[in-house]
Amino acid sequence: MTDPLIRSIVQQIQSWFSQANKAVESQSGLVDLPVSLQTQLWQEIQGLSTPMLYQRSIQDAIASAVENWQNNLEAPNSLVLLGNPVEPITQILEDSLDNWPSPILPPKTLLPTLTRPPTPEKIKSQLQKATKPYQQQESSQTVGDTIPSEQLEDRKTLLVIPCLEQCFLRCIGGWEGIEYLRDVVLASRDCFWVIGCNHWAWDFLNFVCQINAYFDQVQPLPELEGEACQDWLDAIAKTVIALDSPEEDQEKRRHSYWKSLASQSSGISSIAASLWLQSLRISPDDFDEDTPPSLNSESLPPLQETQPSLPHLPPLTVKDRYILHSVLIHGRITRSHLALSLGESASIIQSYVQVLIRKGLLQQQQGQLSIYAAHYVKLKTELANNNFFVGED
Amino acid sequence: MALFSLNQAINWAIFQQVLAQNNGELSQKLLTEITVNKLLKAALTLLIAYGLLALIQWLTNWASERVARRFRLLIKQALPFWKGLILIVAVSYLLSLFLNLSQGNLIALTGTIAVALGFAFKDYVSSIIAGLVALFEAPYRVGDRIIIGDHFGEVVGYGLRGIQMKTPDDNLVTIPHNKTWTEAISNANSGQLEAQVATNFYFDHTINPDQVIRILYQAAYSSPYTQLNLPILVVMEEHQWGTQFKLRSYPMDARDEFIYKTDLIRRAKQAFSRHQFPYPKRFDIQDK
Repeated sequence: MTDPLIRSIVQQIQSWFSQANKAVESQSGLVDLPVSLQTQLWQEIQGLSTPMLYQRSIQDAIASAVENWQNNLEAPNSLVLLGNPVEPITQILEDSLDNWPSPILPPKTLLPTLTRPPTPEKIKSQLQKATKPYQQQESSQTVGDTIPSEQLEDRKTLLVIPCLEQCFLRCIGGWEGIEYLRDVVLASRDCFWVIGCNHWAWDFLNFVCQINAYFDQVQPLPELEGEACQDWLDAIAKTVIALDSPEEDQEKRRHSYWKSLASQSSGISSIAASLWLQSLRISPDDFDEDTPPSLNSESLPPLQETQPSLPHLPPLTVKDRYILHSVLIHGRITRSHLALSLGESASIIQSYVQVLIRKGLLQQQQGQLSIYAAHYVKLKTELANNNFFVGED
Repeated sequence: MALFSLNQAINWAIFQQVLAQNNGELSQKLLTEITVNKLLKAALTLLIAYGLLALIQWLTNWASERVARRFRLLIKQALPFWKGLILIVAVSYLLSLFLNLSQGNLIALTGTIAVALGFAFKDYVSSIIAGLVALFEAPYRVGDRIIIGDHFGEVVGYGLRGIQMKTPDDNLVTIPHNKTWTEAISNANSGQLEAQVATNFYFDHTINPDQVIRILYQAAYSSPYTQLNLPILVVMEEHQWGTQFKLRSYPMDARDEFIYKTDLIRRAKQAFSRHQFPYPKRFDIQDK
């Protein structure tokens, strides 16, 4: 892992360059996209399937691990797939399994829409209910003491828990469900378990219940290169971007653009999507302010891609950092759960959350707070510099 | 004190010997010609040194409170170095301005100053020397949380004569460096950001220790202030009146000590009340 100090310096230098680029852009007369057009483009991106590189990587990892488990009695019966807190790990796993032409085993997703219940103690009972049909031994038995006789022919069940971070809350008794699940996975060796989780949650769970010791196979999502970013976003980009220069120059310029986008976004798809959208500009002469351009209209003016750059991280208070760190560990979290995890009353947290939403660091979807993807890289450095533990991406 | 007296005696003897050797010519050779220009230069030097010292103190505090925690102590700990550098340059310049610093003169001057200071400002000089020693031995540094005598707080200033400590009640306490000769110094973080916090909990003898220990570990792990990279430990002790549990853990920033302790106690007590754990009973003297 790069030292946070070096990372801060690199980010600062990049920030100076991006400021210089912005000055050039303003001289060239291009302006930001109207909000309505940005929203429409964002919805288009949301409608895209997750990057194929992710899907293929997950399919290959599952196929190889399941094959090993089916051929070797002692092989591990689980595979953990780790993503960043800003990646939609549930959707990535779902897409990977849905678009798998010939899956090695038919997957069964446990708790596909699990969100933390209002009282965290209930998480364990939900997990108990969901895993009951697949348990091999009585809960009263000590794990590892008596393993029922196993046969390779019985190994035909592939279970998926798409989002492990929704199965715990950082409070007393908040990770009992994880401890229970950990023991069930170890005991139920005739089922293969695929678990999706974010790095920060995984590292936290490793601190509090040594989860790494129970899961042999942990695989992070691959980093997207420029080409992978292009393959993923070009479906939309090609329809809206102005391609006016000769084809060869265009190819070279676009290649360099996507490479830069992948580098800035650290190969994380959600950040790449945000940066791509932020890098789009439009000429003010091409539209009338009274009738903003729309994706649906036939006369959408061509958009220009400018140098992608990470947004400036707004100044943070000490309290802001604790809130953002907690959100990163939990991936998505409601305000009441956030207050519980911080040991504060909801009324105190409320005002800080509102300010963070206004600053663009937090976003709220269906009552759940999450980090705005484009800020993730700088926020991670900021938290590391302030002595917080950060997930090893 | 005995050591100091011995130093004084030696210096006095050297001084007498050099005086005898130079046969009265010393005072004429030691001092250079004093002119108005030199006096102005000296005044300007003092002014600049004073301004720089004030500026460096302010700049260090300003910068250290604005950077990320990781760099706060690095900046603060550089304060004595910068102050020392300014003082050495200023004093050297002033000496070279007014004195002929030949080998003989230097010995004579040292002896004279030692005798003069030994009688008049021995505590002050002792503090300065202790401050220099403390720079190398580092019993405390700027940003450390220390206990000297009855005082506890964070070292916020490192002067020539002493340190300034900010107490939890926001009082500024000045303590001379020469306290390090005689007083024990307890340093909680010793140049690190984290300092261990010990939080005590008391229960009746009938308590189930496994349950308490499990809750205390979870209280520490779940607190947003805890530095999870450092060890967390619960230890028990039996007393006549009940059982004591001590939770030892580290906050991410030693400055959060009290808010951290409060958070741990609040979290743990909420869990204890759910389980209705028995607290120690008060001895009723009348019943006995």
